[in-house]
Amino acid sequence: MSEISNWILQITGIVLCGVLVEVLLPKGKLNKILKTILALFIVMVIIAPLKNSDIAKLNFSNIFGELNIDKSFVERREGEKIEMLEQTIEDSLAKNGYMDTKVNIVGEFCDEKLNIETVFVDLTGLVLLSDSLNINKYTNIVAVIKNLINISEENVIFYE
Amino acid sequence: MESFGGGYFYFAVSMKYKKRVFDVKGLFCCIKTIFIILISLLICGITFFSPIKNDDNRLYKSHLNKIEVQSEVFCIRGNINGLIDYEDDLFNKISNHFSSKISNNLLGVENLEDELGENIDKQLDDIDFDILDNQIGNLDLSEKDFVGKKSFLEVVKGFISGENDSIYNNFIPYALGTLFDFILEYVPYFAVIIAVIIGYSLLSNVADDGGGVGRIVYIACFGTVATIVLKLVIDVLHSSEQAISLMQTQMEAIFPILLTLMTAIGGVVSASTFQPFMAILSSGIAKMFSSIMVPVFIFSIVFCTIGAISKNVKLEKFSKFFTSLFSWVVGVIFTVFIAFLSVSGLTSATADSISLKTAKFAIKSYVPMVGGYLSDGMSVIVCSSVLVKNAIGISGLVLLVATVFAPIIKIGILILLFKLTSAILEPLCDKELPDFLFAVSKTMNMLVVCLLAIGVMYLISISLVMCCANAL
Repeated sequence: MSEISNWILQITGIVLCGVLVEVLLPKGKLNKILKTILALFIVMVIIAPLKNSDIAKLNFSNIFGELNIDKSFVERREGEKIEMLEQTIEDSLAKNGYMDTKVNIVGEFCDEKLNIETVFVDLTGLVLLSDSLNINKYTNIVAVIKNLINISEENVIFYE
Repeated sequence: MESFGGGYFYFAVSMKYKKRVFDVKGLFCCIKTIFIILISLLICGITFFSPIKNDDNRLYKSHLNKIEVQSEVFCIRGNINGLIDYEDDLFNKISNHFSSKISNNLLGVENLEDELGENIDKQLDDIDFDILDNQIGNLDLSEKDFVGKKSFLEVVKGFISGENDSIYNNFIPYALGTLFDFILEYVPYFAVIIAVIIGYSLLSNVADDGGGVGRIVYIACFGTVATIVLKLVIDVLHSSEQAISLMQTQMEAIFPILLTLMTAIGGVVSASTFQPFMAILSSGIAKMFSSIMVPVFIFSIVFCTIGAISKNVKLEKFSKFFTSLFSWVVGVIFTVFIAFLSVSGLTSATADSISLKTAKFAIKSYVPMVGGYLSDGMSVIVCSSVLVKNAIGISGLVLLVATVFAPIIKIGILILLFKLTSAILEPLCDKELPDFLFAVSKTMNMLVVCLLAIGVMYLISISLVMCCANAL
């Protein structure tokens, strides 16, 4: 900005000189010649900074700034979605007579799709309702899980 | 009527001058006109007077219809009562069944609302609003009254809960208050300018025409006027630079938050599309306006001022060159940016909405609707992210209005006052000074364009982000 202000001051100074010349000198041919010379000076002063300017050295690399997405926020939301899904499976198992199960989903979000690798079902605290006692619990639990998420039977692992 | 009047006049003139010229044409015109008037009266009489009887007929018929309709209603009512009398038990059973369903569903709704509220609070706690809180803290008193809240988080929560009606109600008092404050602030300056120029015009009449004394008096007067004008211009220039800088800071703070939320919702394509545009807007375009466009405006004003000092030193075309350069550059930037942003933003939004829905069904976790309300936990999280995203977007727009409104009004009032002063002074003095004031007013449009261009690009970016990634 200091260069701009210097340039403006130069132009202003030259113009004021021209005004003084116009006022002080008598009318005649000399007046006209001096006005022409002053006009040339004014044009030179206006155009002069272009020669010395740093246009060639301007750096346009900073024109694309950086906007960073907060990946930790996204990961926390994805974690919450998986926890919600686990809760949904546990609630569904409870409705089908398998209380106090703990489900742990191992998977990751690729773009917006959840790729589930394995589902761990913890049956250590399992409480069976009387209706479910004589039925194969592993098959039923797998069936309930497969109703909710798209996973093959081999990827559902139980531990007790 | 014209033919009647013309015919009558012709006839009267001929009678007056006793020319006994029997004017067949005039007489024919009179007869024709009288005939037309009689026909019109007849038609009017038929249309206006006959409906009295028609009205009577119509009234009579409508009365008959009413009786018929009423009798039908009585019949229907009687039938319904009969039904209710005979079907009481069935009706009670049906109402009991639906009321129990509704109460269960209402419980489900309450649980869902609590869950949504918890998710929203959790997400808002995770976001850093410090920079935006500082922006609100640095607003003037009138702008703070307009926003009505002390922090950005409160504004966002207000929009989520729907309690921000005061912002809409506060806008008009804020706008009118700002307008009249600036008018009262700047009118004295223009009164001084008018007084100085009137004094100069009186003096110039006393001084020699075209002489040295006249030129010196003009330069002294022009110096005074130019000092006041440039003082006002520098004041609005500082306001504009500050507004551009504030907008840049807001963009750098809000855009990452919106992109993060969009990614969390699942609008990955949209986020990746918007990211470069937002980066260009917040860093490149804003810097270009503050470091190139504002100096171009300064050059234009300077050449406008210097060119008005002397008739022989003409720099008007330089001023117009910079004005044209400014118009071209702003037009190109604005058009290209908006075109690319709108087209690519909308197409990516469509792609995201399709992929969001297919991803949901692909997981096979689309739990069937229970009681008519969504019970999918993942959708609750996505819902809360969408609400937070849109609330932050609209809060950003409110902050934008609070930042940019006052400078635009200030510049607009100055432009109008310059033009008014130029119009008042035009008949009172030579054209140099009024032309100078008018040229300054036209040049100041560039500042308004700067602020509006950045503001509109910011507004469109946020609006597109709010419209995208809303599909569940």
